Amino acid sequence: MAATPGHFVFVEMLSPRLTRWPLDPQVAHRNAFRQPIMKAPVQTSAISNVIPFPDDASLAEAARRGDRRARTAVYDRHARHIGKVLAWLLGPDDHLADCIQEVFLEAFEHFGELRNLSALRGWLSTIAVHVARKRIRKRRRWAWLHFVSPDQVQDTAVEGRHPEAVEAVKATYEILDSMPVDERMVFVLRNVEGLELENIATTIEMSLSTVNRRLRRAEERFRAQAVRHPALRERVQGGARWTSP
Amino acid sequence: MDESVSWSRELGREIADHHPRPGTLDEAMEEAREQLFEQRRRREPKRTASRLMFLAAAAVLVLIFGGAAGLWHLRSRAMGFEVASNRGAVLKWVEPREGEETPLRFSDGSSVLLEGGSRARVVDVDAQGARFELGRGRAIVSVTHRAASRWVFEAGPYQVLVKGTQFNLAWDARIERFELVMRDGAVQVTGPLLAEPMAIVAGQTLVLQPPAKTASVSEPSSAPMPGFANGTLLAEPDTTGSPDPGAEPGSSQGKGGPASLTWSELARSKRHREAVDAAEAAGFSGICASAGGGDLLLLADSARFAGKGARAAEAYDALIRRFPGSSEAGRATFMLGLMASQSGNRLAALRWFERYLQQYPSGPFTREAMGRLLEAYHAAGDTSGARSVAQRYLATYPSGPHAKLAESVLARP
Repeated sequence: MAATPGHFVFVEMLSPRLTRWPLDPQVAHRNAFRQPIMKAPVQTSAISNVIPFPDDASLAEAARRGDRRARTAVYDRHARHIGKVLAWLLGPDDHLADCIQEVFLEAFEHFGELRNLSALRGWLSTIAVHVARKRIRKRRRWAWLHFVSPDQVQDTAVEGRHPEAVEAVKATYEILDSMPVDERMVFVLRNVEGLELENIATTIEMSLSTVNRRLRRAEERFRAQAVRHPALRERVQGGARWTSP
Repeated sequence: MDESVSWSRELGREIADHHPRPGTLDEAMEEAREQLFEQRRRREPKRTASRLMFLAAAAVLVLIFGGAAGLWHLRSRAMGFEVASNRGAVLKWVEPREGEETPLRFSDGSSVLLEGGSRARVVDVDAQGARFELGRGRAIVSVTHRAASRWVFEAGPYQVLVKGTQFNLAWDARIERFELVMRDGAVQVTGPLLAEPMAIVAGQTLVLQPPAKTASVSEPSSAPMPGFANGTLLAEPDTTGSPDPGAEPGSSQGKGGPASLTWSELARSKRHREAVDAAEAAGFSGICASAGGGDLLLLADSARFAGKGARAAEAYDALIRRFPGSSEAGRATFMLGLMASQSGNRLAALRWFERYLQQYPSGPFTREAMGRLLEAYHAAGDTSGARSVAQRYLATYPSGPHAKLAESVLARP
């Protein structure tokens, strides 16, 4: 069926009476065209299923009610950030997936305790700190089984294209592994995640003065060890970066 | 900043840059998600490097060299890439100056063109693809489709998963605005404001801006795509095939003097409104009746990009009638379903997606068509139709973007 200039060619509007399956390719061209595909150019359209939870408060509210879709959305929206926080706190660890899962399981079980719904991410971060602390303490208890338990073998999570960077990351976490857990937490949250001190105090549930004190001690302790390590010496003394900015 | 602590912030930033490795984090997130929501443990084969390391744990030197040898073996199979004809380096930022553009070319034929003022880098690369981070600005992307290809593009908090396609990606970090313009193929996007991974196909533009709580899917504008103004920096995406030598010369010539461009030249230069105007001036229906399959697809896509749905439908319809069974006709069938779906004509959308699945059971849009068909049945309230498609979908694409919808349809009594 040829269309003449100036006439719209419409895609047929399927009548409910017509059989949908299987299709006859000729049917489309026998039936009368009924409606234009596009009455006007469609420029934008709000997709109602794209933003069912436009902010964390509405998301947390729905998740607290047990809305499965909301809980999935909580995960999809925040898992990457929580995964990074855990990875920064733990260093290379074969149990990162388990720790991520544990954070969200805890969150789903204790959603009723979340008072400020808008502070969902910060609350999840607090849970992540607890989970990381538990994991680090467990690792230290099992450290003497290093050559026995495969769990203790560091995986290749830090492999990269810059050997200096790989060595420096490993050296950093070796030093952090030797530090008290709370000092390690404060050091990582401040310097790797980049949190302000007040946020650290909230996340880690300490007073601001305690955070300040522990951060100062952590940086002194870290620097004292780092200057003895070839991969870190220049960095802590203000030397060249591993990679170009 | 106090010198005594600036070293720690610098060090911390570099740690954050290099740890965790993106692939490691992705795998951990995927595994945690499965355990949380699907309650099945995926059997993860122990990584070769970990196994090697464990077996060689008692001999430290063997551990180091064995692991390094394993990594070098993997690395030797990875793709290479160039940045403006120089050998590219992973994790190195590329920042073309304002008014300039920088091309990145990969050994599999894929390419990324960075606009001036942008900042981006290749984070990781292996034999299957690469992970690309857009810090700010706009990238014009063309990924070679291969069965095993897997590319990931990150823009701010968003991820675009790619198998083989062409698109423009933009991220404005200042206002946290994400924009994806699909030129060919389909991708999956995850990130803030998206309740579940969202599939975006050719012809669609996705804009997300969490601070303003806005999200939209629309047709792209007719403005020329930056980076292709001179059309010479990168190979043109071949969406239409070579011009049909059997096409009548008069059907593709626009009116005007020898210096004026033809509709097809305008379309290839992404000047879509002008292309459709030129085609109409030359006789749109006549072009539909005589042009080759490649030209017809070019015309139809151009009309769609120009917002001229009726003309797009006319050209797609002509493609299907004149070249039944061809890949161009398959694309036309799918695009008609998409256009019907976007305009709210659910039943027409059903028809076109069902046709596509029947005629192209292994086509490039099969998964997307089946998912959209499921959406259309579900939205139309046709429970039996939805259940039938949901079963087929889960049997074929258990991890596809519409798997959750399929599961929820089947879970209902």
